[in-house]
Amino acid sequence: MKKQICILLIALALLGSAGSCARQSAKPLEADNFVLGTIVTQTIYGNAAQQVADDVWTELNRLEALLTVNASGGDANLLNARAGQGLVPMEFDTLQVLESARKISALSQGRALDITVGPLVKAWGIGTDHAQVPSAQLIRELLPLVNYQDVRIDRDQASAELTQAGQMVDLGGIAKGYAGDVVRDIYRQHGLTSAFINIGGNVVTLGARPDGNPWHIGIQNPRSETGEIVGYVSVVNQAVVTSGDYQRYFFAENGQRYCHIIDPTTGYPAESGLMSVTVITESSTDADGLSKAFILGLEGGRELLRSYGQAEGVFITTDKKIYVTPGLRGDFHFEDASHAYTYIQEG
Amino acid sequence: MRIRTFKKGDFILILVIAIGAALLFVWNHYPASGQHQVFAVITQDGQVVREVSLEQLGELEDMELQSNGVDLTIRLERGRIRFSASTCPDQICVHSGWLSQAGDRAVCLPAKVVVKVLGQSNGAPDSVAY
Repeated sequence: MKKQICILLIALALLGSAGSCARQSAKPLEADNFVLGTIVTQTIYGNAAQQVADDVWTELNRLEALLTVNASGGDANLLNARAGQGLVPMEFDTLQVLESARKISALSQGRALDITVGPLVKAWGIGTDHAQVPSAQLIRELLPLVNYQDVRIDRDQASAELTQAGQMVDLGGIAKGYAGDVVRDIYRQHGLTSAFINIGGNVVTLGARPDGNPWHIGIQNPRSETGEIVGYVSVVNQAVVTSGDYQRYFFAENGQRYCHIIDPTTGYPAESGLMSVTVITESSTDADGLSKAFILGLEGGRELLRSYGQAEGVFITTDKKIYVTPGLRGDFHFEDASHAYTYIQEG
Repeated sequence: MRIRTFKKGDFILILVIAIGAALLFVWNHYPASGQHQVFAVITQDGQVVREVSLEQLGELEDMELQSNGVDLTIRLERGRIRFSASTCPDQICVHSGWLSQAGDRAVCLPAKVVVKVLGQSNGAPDSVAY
């Protein structure tokens, strides 16, 4: 009798293990939506994935309304509308974004990320269908309005202000990054251990793949219209954020190509000898802000990442060299099907 | 002294169960042959409007789609799919070209339409930063 029980237990164990392996390799939920002015894809492994994905869409819509300058009642617009008129009550999330932006701006004294670049973004028509080259005089007039230190944050009164009239914040350089951190927190709160979100190219991972291996996040070839990659990074629990000259650009009447990232020092679209910068660090907000290292060029960009401390980077220069920071050794995998790039592992 | 705890019949039973477990494992791990195919999925505002097996397509087909004020033409033929025309301003969707490998995707942001290819991917990254 004992023998039969023994055989039965072995049988159950074998069947159970065969079944559980199948569960682990189950396909993830992949959900697409258009939020924050871009395409967003969630990839979720685990139970109740659809419910989690729906919660995330709700939250992203809320953040969009709060942080985009295109939403009339949002915090970003209130802040801009009352520039120079004292403190304006702000939501918790907006204060978090403003504070993070200030922290990252201070690392470069506002030469890379500066959210007060709003008046110039508007003058150039960035993000609209009618981008244009403003007059040199207009740019000269607007430049004094750009100063990240003029964003005053009052935590006690849950409010903030722009100290000069005419100033405008544009949170486009950091809001998507912040949203990524919020989403990863939602995944954690639901007990997930393996998921990622791609918010218009900002990839934020939670944990590792279900099999324990790191995620492979591709880095786009900046000159490929068909979305080919030049390689990928292996990451666990990290954000991977790229800023490049190719995402949104326009040609002026004289044929000059301009990118969408405004250099807060010159008032013109950045031209730094880089085609893209990819930053890898745990905080998605910081990765987004730090990716404006693009404006500083290779040397200045590396210096910015060093001053932050825990970030790694992949810099692609206009002469098609890919510089990879020392901490990524072994985690960057060069796979350039175009054979146009040279890979340089630093340190 | 030999103590026989297992009889021949027991070994056969164990063997049968082990083979059963192995078959179940293989059944769960390796998808049925149909799932080796690549599928194209077209979504509009996040909702699936069409799902098609690219291998089973016959004649070339142009699918017209109106979405968020943009007129789109999506071309399908055996093994591949693409945005072939769009009235959107930037034409990024059209420039994305043909999609044929699992993991390939093209997006028309103004129209809020995504075309993606699903199936067994061969070493493609999990996602792409851009």
